[in-house]
Amino acid sequence: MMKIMMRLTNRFLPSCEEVSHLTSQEMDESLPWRQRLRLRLHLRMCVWCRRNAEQLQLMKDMARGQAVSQDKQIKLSSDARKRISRSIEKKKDQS
Amino acid sequence: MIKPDNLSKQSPLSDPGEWVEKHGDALFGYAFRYVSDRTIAEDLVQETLLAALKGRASYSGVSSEQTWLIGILKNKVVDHYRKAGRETQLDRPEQFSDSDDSDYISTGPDIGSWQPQRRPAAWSVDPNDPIEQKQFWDHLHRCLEGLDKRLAKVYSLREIEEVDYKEVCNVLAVTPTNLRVMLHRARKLLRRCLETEWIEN
Repeated sequence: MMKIMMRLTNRFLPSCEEVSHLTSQEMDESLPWRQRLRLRLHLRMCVWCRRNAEQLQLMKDMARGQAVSQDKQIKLSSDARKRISRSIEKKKDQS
Repeated sequence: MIKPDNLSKQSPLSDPGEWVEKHGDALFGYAFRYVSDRTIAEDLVQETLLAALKGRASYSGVSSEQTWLIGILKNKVVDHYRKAGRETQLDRPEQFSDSDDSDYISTGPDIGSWQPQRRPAAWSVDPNDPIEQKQFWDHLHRCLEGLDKRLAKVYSLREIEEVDYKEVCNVLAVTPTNLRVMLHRARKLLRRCLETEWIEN
């Protein structure tokens, strides 16, 4: 009886472990509707999995925000600029 | 030799002598995202521009000059990873199997539920506070450094640089399934690291 009950619950409700996979997956691609529904239902009921999902999203947002401000500093140094220009000029003369 | 000119109709490409000035930062930024190393990124930019100079006759003019150059750079990055891959073995998913997952109860009626001591704690972070933002980033950064190199790479490409999922697969030569497993693992370990390193202090 217990076994049948468990199989039934598993069928409709994914475990936290499965939800953790689905949560990660959904950050990269859209899920098929059935999986999306399972995920949503579970998240609605489970505070820990909800936290997990929110925190993963927060990490993404925070990291991205910081990276945007650092992106502006990612520039070719003037030394490298000169070096690369020189190598192009050299090759250009050869061709 | 026909001198390529910005305005000339025969050659839609600008003078190669101007490429570094025009596209250097864009190319460097792209390369740096993937390799996270200034010297390697600079070398890749140089290789790209030299290859472009050699192959400029094949430029079709369909895409913009910069798009064309980035396309060449992309191949250089792939080559770089292919060479480096022999040493770092980027694509070794068996090491990242999720079967040994101690976050969840492994037997009994609660199978697959969170282990009580592993349940995610509530975080009190104000995402709008610039100081907390900075602290958060510093900790995340430190946690990333402690992570397996391959996992750190896929995490930062996906989450920080927001590189397209398929593009990460292509450039790093990993299958979508492996990437999914690696990302799940990376996110999980990082969240856990942040929680123990920062939130609990």
